Amino acid sequence: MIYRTERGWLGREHPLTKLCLVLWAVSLMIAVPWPVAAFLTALAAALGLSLDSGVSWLRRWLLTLAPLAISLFIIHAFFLHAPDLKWAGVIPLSRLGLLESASLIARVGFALGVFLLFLSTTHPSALLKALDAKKISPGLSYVLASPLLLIDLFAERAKSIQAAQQTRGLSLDQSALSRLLALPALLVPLVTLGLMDNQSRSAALTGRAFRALPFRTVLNPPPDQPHGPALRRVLLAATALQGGLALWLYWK
Amino acid sequence: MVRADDLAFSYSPAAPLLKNVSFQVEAGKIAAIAGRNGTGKSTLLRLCNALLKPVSGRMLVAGIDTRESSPSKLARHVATVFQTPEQQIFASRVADEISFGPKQLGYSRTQIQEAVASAIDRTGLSSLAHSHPLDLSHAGRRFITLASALAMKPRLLLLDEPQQGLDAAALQKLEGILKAEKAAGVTILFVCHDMDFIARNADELLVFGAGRLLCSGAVSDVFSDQALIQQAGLKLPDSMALAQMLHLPPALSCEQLIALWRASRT
Amino acid sequence: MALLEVDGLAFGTILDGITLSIERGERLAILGANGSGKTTLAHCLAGWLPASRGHVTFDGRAWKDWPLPRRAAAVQLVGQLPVQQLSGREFTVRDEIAFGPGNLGLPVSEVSDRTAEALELCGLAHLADRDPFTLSGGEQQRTVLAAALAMKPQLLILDEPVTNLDPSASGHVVQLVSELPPHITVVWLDTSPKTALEFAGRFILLRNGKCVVDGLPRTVLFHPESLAAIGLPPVAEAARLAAEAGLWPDGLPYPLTLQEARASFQKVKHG
Repeated sequence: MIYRTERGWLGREHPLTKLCLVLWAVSLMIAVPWPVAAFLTALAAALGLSLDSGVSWLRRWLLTLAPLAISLFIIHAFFLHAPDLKWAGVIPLSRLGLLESASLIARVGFALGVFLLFLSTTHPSALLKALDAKKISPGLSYVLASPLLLIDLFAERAKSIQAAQQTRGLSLDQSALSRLLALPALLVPLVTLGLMDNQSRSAALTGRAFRALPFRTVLNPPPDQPHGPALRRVLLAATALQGGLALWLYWK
Repeated sequence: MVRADDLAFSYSPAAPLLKNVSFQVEAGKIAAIAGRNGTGKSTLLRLCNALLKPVSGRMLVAGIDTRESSPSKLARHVATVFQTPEQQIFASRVADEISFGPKQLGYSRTQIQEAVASAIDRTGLSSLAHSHPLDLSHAGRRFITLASALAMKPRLLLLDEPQQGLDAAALQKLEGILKAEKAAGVTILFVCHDMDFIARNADELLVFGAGRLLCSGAVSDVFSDQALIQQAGLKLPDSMALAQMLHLPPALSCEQLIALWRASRT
Repeated sequence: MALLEVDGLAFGTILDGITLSIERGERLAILGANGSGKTTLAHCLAGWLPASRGHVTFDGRAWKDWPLPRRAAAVQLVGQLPVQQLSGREFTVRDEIAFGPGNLGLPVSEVSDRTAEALELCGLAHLADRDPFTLSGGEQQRTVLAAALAMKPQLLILDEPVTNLDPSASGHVVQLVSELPPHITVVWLDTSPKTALEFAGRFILLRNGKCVVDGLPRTVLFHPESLAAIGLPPVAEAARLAAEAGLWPDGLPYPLTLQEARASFQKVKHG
């Protein structure tokens, strides 16, 4: 699980307020010029580092962003435009491409960072209970949060599957080709168990009247701050405005 | 065939699971591992196929130190049958599924065909060789994983709760297969919580409790040690309980019980 | 009127015309070999699967006429693998148990009371804040059972609930079920009679998709069809072999449990 206990204000804020903050921040990112985007990304990084689990957040953010950042850089700087610069006096790349990739990386990085901030400071059960308490459709909340709980289960299973196949002679430290050929032996059981699980779990959920009513009663929902409902409304309105502005600017 | 020398193991330094475990299982014997839940029975099985390595001490399997081997290397000598068949089944035909092990071990085409045919025959899956493994019931899938293990022609066969979920007919079939493997010289080590099954099938019994090997020896000797059985939180097989009640020597099956009873009356 | 009436129930090729009725408060065990259709039958009895032919009526109404919330409050089904029955969206045992009553839209106090009651009944109070997916198999199965009981069902169907549990966990579940209040009707499906003998007063043998024998445990277990399909408990088998060897007095009933065996075998020993 990505979530870590957080004692700061991010840990205490209502999950739905945080979700609205994420939406607002991401929509802001679409509308602003890239130097502002880069500055906001730096702000997000500072906020992330201020968390109790700041270092783990940073590590996860960089590891997730790195492959995308590298590919964006390569594609824009080397392939999309004609080269007009020489990097280290030797490697030709495009200045425009460089700027474009920097802008994209900043925006994507910001969105990713903010999303990870949300996941790191919000326990999936808190999110689910908040959605239930506000009478959001139980089906929707299930789709949102259950993958997070089941990730651990799947990770355990993947390990057991690998162990079982290894005892049948499957060796994972050979050529890349043999590892590729081994994929079905590792993936098919994961899917099978997942599907079996799914079938039984759906039946069990229905048996306990899940989605029988459009709302459900929840014990101990996360407390909502007094400013919560108003703040969420403002954030959602701002998101709509910013999104609209960005679209208008784009079409212009 | 299997030898543990002062073995110790823990998943985390704060919680040692097994300590000072030493035992030996001779080639061609069937040994059962019993003990309360959480005493490390399944862990021990994983120490035997090198999925886990001892923290101290050593585990020798077919003369090989597991610390210097890996599960895939040891698969040449050891085959394991796990509790959840679906965690390894991936082929679309039973015969293909069973051929996976021999293929990984680098058998030739003819060798693979022979090994698969023999395993299918021994597990009674002949009529289902071309079926999709997942079309079979749970018991059928268990026999597929057993056949997959037998096709690897192991010298040591490890089974984790092989009797679980099997009805009387399937149990009888399983017991027949185990006896046949033993007759062919295969050493068998299985974890089990069904004392009646252990009594009918095992030669030796290893009893674990509180992270230690409490006792090991011939099944009838171990079951005759009342204090030990109580300490380990186990219950006696019904035939043993009845034999004790009738002041007869230990009986490992109903048939043996009646035979001993008849003998005592003459 | 019986609580559950089954009339000519068929499902694909698995169930072939099942007719039986279950009275309120009964403790019924349905035995059958692997692949005999127990799980399918359990699902049909609970209204989880529609019949291909015939009907299943609960309290006078066919299951298909029951709205989902009412059905969920009337019947609960506990299966073999606890992991597959956990909701997958609750992160504590307490929330898992509260999940069902929560779905019924009951008031918070009612949900809270039912949850506390079920936790107590199933001996899970000390695990209330644990993640159900980190529990042992036995603890998970007790959680599933508690979650079912929190719905306050009139009928509880258990499909091989202890097959995957070790003896001590199995013992806990059996004890829980045998101590359930008499207004809850219990149907227990299994391949072996061992656990059901501890509480069930009526046995049915399921073979080739049909209910072939129905009656007292003793009557059903010694019927030739049962002997062929599921075999006898070891103590009964020992007595039968003893009779064959001329060691068992005529007229002395064969024991079915170890307790009965102690008494019977002592009698035989002392003439």
